[in-house]
Amino acid sequence: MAEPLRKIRRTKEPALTHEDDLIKQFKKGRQECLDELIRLYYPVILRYCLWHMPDKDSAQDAVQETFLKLVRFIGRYEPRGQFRAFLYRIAANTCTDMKRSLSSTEFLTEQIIENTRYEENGFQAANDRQQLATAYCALDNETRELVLLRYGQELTLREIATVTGLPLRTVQTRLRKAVKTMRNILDG
Amino acid sequence: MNHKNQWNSFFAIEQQIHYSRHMQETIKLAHSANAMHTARCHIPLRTMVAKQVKFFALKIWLFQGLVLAALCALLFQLYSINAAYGIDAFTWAKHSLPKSLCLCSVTVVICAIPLLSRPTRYKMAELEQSTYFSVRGNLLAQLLFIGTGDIGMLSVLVLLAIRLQIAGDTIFLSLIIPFLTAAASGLMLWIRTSPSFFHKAGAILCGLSALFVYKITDNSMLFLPDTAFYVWILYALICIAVLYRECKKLYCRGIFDMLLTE
Repeated sequence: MAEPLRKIRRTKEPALTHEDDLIKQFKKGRQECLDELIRLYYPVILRYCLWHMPDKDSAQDAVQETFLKLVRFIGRYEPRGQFRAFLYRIAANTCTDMKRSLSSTEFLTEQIIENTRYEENGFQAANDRQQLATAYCALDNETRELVLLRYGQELTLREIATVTGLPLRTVQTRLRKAVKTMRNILDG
Repeated sequence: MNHKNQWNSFFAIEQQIHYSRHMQETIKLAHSANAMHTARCHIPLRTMVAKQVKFFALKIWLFQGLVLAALCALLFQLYSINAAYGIDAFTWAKHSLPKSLCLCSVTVVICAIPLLSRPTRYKMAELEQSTYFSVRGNLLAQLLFIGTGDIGMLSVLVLLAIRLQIAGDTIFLSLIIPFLTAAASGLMLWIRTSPSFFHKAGAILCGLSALFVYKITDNSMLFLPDTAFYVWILYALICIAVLYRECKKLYCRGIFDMLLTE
């Protein structure tokens, strides 16, 4: 999980996030800042790709491609505290491109349920996860993406709006509806 | 908050995968990619625009200058029709001057269409390749040149109309309002439609919209002589706001396209 963003106060420049500071240092030639960025975000981007790609290997390829694209485009990123949204946007596009090239269609319901079998600590926990998987599968693709970004990746609503290209209000409305739908399925 | 924690742990499937080796490989590859990636000189929009003045802007402005010369000749010709040509001809010429101003304003907008259509028709991308701008970013730069030329043409036409003793409110309603209408509708169509549709129908639609608005201005001054003018001032401000918003949208979309395309 990525560390919480830390603000570093500087005397004359606006407040920078930790990520923006790392990028600034990396652009000045400090390679270890790139290493730290990758170590910070690798797990969460892997999580995101695992939910978009058909298997573990292609998910790891997608993560790798995401970070390589980050290196290529990092010169065009302006440090404004929006690094997470920037990175997730690259990840989303990478997954879309790779799925297209793999001739893979949408993430099948069976694959989602298969993902939940990674952890089976007791029957109750396994049962809860299966129910959650069923509720998640009941959503359409676009709503699943919003739920994943919000609850799986813990992005803010504004970041989700930037990543998906949807207006903020639409994100709020759809998420509220998705939570309601999932809770209805889980409760009854 | 319970469901949030539960859902978060539901999504956290990467915890069961051993990824440290792959992460190290990714870091190594990122270092190689960074070493291979030559420092590309990203040109900001204003620098690119300044460089393109010599190559592209002069061509656009020359074309617009020729169109302007033709329009001025037409207006002068109409103005020079005096009583010696006959009372009917003189009256017709006097009445036609404001209508001619409207046609001039539409011509100013429409003459930009062949200039915009050329790069999209031939899909010319040599500028984008060398400057790492998206097609939209480049087209925005061209719009800036065309817009500057249009303002120049309008200024000359306004001065000419004043010289030809046309009243100020007539100039505003016959020249400025149709121009703003045609420009705003043309830009909105251009951004939202395919290039082929715009080339075929865009010119006609923005010309028709300007003529339609001109007809309304003509009639509104007859029916509401006291208040209509202020309504049209507000309309002009709305058109300017629409133009600004569309250009900003094009600029923002151009920047984002630039970020994620190879």
